[in-house]
Amino acid sequence: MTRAALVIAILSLMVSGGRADDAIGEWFATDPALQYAGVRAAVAEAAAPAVAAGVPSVLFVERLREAAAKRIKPDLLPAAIAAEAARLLSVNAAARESGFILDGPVRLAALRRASLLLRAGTGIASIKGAYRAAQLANRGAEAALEAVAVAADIRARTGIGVEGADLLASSLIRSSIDWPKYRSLEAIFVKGRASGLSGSTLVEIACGALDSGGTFVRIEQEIERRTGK
Amino acid sequence: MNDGTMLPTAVFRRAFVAALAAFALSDVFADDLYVSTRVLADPTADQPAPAAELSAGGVFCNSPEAMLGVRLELEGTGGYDMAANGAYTSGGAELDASFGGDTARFVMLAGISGGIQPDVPAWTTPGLRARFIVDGPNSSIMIQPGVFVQYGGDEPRFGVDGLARLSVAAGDFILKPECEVSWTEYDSGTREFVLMPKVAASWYPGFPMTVSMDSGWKRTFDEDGAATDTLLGGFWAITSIGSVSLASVDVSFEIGADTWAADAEAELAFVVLADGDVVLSLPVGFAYSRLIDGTSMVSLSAGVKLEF
Repeated sequence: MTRAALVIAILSLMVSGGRADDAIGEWFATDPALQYAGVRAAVAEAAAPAVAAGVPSVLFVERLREAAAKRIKPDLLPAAIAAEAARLLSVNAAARESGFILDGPVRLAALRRASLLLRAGTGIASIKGAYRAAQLANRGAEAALEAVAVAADIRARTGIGVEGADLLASSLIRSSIDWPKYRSLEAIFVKGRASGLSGSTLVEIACGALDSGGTFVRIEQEIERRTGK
Repeated sequence: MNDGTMLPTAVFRRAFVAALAAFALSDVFADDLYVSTRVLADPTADQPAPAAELSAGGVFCNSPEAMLGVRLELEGTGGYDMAANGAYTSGGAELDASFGGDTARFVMLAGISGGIQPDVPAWTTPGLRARFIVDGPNSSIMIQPGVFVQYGGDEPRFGVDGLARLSVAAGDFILKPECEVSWTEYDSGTREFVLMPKVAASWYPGFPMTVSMDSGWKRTFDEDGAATDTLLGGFWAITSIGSVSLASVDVSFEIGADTWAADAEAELAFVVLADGDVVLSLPVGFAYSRLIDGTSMVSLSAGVKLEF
């Protein structure tokens, strides 16, 4: 690399880093943030560890906008941002440890989605497991996180437990099904439950079908075989 | 055993003992067991009177489906109909053994069902079916020949039937063109041959709801070769309410040249307890049935169902 190119790269990093760091400050200069002026320093301090680790500060701005829209009390904001920072740090680390090199909008979307999953009650271990399965199956972070989200929703509706949800997510990721279609599995589980099959039986059927190269056709066929419906 | 006058206490005692046995054995070698009880009544009857039912069933010996899978399913219902002043029972058992791998399977199914109802001779129907399945990534072909006998009941009979079905994934749908043929000889000596092409589809959208529908055409030939045509159709929609409760609508109909028959059911199953595979729900339902002879029935029901 020439000396000029090196200087340009360093300057680019400085400029982009500066912009990211300023995003929170810029938000505090807007009208909706007026009521939170008193906690500006505490919010910046709460977000600092994640921003220093490379988490885009725009993710915090989204949470600040949400808090303002919901008229969250100012004294609750630093703790909420600190909790968000902890979540973003852990999902950022999970992606890195799993070998995912995410960049740009894909990284932003993955961090946002993974943090939302943690807020909704999914454990970080489930996300790490899905990232590992996605790496092995040569799938992207979108597939991993969509599989975790679908499995979490199925878990909420059928009581399959964390272990069952993780098995389901891994099988979805390894399957030949395109990730935008993962949601159909939730509808298949609704049919299976209405047909009298328990959540654990449906996990067994779905994982067995997907792990043996099948798709939703085979899952449906097995449900119909077992229930006659 | 019964001429339609079995005491309701005897029916419930047997069903209760069966349910207790199923519960005791459930941890050992069974899954997807259920016990349910409900009260139903036809408010449109001349003298409305309720019936009470107790049902139990489940799957036993459900070995993992690797090279060889074996499963036994049992279910039974006992009830007492105050309007007919008689008890009724029905039940069934199905044993299937499957062999095969990831792309092709062969399943042998042996089943028997039977029942006792007021005003109808006791009936039992043993049957045997073979099922051949070849799976592709997004499609599947199934061919299923079978033979069955019905002893007793309204119309004792012997029959053979066959079903060929192709299942193909298309977006959020699974399309299932199929053709069923059957030949039946009744005890009275009459014979009939039925040809029934059908198209079924299941819709699995990106939210917790599913719809299955089918439409077909049935041509029945009597022994003189005269044909009767019937249009068939059905619709089954299920959705999740809240997080775990379910609502379903199930409609089916047959339209012939001179008459028609239909069944329609709607059910709301409110889940009051869900802990893993243990689910306690309160189903309430509405059912309408119109028989081919023009008689119709309405039924309202409410009950309790325990799945474990």
